[in-house]
Amino acid sequence: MRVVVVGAGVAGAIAALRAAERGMEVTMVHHAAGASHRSLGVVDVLGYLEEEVESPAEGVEWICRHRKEHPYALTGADTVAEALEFFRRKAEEAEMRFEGSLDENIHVATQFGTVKPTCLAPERVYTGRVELWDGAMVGISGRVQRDYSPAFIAASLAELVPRLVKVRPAEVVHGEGELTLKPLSQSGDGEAALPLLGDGRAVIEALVRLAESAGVRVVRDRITGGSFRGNLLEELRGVRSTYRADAFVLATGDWIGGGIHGRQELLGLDVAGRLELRKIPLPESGHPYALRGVAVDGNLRPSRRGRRIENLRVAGALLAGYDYCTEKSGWGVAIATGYLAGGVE
Amino acid sequence: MCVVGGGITGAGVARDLALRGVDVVLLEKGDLGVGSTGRSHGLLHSGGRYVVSDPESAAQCASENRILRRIAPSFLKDTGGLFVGMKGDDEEYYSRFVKGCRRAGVRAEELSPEEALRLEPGLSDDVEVAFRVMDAVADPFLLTVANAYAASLEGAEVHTYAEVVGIDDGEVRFRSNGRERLVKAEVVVNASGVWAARVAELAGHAITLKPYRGTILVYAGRASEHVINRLRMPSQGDIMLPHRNTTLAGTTFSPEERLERYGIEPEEVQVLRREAERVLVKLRTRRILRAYAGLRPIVGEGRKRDFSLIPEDGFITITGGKFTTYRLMAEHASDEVCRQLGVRARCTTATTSILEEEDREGLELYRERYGALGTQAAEYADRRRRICLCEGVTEGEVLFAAEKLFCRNIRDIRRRTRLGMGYCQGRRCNLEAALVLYSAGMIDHSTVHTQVLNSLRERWKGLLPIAAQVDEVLRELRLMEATFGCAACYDRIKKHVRGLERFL
Repeated sequence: MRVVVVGAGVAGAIAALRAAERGMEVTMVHHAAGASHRSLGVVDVLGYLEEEVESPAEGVEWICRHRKEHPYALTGADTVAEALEFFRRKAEEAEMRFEGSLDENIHVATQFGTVKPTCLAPERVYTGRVELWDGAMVGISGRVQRDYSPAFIAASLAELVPRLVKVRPAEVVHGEGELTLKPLSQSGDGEAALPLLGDGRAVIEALVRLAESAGVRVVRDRITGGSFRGNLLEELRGVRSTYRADAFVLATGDWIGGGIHGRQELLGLDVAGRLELRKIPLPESGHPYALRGVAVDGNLRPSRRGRRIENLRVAGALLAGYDYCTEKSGWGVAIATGYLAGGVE
Repeated sequence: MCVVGGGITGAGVARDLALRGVDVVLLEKGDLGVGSTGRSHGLLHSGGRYVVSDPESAAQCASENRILRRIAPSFLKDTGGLFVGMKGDDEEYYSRFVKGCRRAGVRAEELSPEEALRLEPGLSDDVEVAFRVMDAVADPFLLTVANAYAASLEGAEVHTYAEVVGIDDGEVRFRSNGRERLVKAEVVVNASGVWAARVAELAGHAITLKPYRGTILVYAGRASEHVINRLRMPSQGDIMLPHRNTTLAGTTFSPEERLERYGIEPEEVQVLRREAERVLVKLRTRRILRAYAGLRPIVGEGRKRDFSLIPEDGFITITGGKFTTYRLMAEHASDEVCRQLGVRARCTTATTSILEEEDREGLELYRERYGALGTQAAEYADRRRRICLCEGVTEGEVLFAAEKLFCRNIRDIRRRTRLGMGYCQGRRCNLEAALVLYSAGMIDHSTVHTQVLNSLRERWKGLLPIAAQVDEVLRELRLMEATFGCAACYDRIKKHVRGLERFL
């Protein structure tokens, strides 16, 4: 069975890896870096609902019960857990260790001098999680580089950390050296790193390489359209070539990756959500346009002019019904839906 | 004496009087040029636009245009301009235009449509008639800052973020840094633009002023090298001009009730796009970066664009007028000040250059960006690290603006240097620029957060009106959210950082 996956972000990579593992003949078509390439490279599953979420597992359960349109409600909580283990296993095969658990979020410091909740993090980042700073002396040092000032991060965190995560005030030191953060409470433990914008790229590229070595054909092309017959997608047309398959996965991202547009959607799929913005930037409640995306059924199948497309599935930020920016759920949704979409029969 | 208002007119008055040896204090409630000045096109009119509808303004524009070319060449780009008549335009207007130009002293040379297209290949084939005129383009922020800077060299005091709260008997009270302060002044010049009625009220005078909103679209890239004007009765969407590495297309004309927090209607954006892209077809493939609107302070009825001087005893209001005629407005106001003070010195601004230019090797880039202020900017040349990647603004330029050009925050710095005015609208350089100030010891860490959020808010305002119409703009907005919301968690920390509460 031939499967074509469009998009090489987290969702696309996971979908391709899963389909390949199930013995499919997979082609991955990708065009440009999207949101996950630019991200911190940590796996947010669920950081906030109305309030901050302590246990992502419980938060996902709550979503499954109360937010029917949310992608987690479509995949179900069990799939989320299964998919995360799949991701962890694949990351390990690509020689990257991700630590953390669905039971409890951890907090990581950012280059913005802020703290953010997340679920899984690469080992070095996990070692530097804010939870370990209790009563500790935290050393942030490093060369000043773009968007990064150790002195600023240290000063800002000194004020923020106690107020956000209820740990005792940390004494802050900073100096010269490498780009590291040292949780000194851990007697002699290894150094830890801050997650930086753009760290996502290395993770995704490693997953794509892994997919390639598992037999996935990776092609660079931009999809411009497709042909449908009845309730089936027959082929996708790219600038360079045409792609025919038995099943398709669309994981092209939201506006950032160019998967969705304000006025016209790829392939004319049915879309849910309004194109509306609020006046204030970054409200906690999010902007209505962020929920806009392709509407799908419980198997992630979209429809076109009201008619369900049987052999097409949608994964990742292209989906309607959630806002990863306010929820902090980006990679979690991408992994869960990518995993489900890649499990084609 | 005291000048209230740090737009181009107020800065011009401060310079004029300082040159005459008068003690001047300039008070601006926000940043220099942040009102109507900075929200204008920055077009130095040839006068052609008004030759039929308002010949007096046309003649003023023509003569001021010549004067500014003489005294401020480094702050102007001598683009020249074209007036173009399109198929379907009122042909009768063409001959009235020619007659009007002759009468008002506006130089206009007729070109064949082919010649016009050769000069400007981005123009539409529908151009039937074309005239070449003496338009020029200035960066309105920079020209305002240059006037204030020149005034301060002559001894004037310049206070920004100093809002006047009371004017009585020789005293002006203003609020600055949360404290109320006082300045003694025998004469007050009210150069507060659209706020002139409010400031006059503080002094117990009544003025009637009607603000009209004008909206401008910013396109990426220069779609023409000349200013392109429509050859017709002044209407909406008549002017497109190259400004730095963008094209500005404007403007609209609609009465506005509010002086602050006014919005831009989607219909305005549609009108401007339609008009601009019809004439300058090259714009059809260009990306729109943002939209902004400003208010024209118009005195009395109708669309007459000349200025008004209202000379009360000890309180002189100068308002109306246009960016092009600011120097003349300043001259008239200053003459009245001198009359009231009994000062006999005459106006010299028509012949005195705004800052002397230096012609030295290595200054070219700085001169291109900062005009005659380039000499001062070049002193920071060793700090070459790029802060704004879109506009190529260096750490040295950020520090130059922060230390020398009356800046309080990164938004002020943006107005001087174009930091964050490019494709990403500051997404990548807001924090970076605030960190330059932080590292220089000018601001503390919580101010970094406030400044970044304030700056995002301002950029957001310019993106909102066009977001639903331009996909790339939605993409930029989403990237801003992904960066500052998803990664930085700014949406959630607001209540935890001092000074950010008001964003809630």
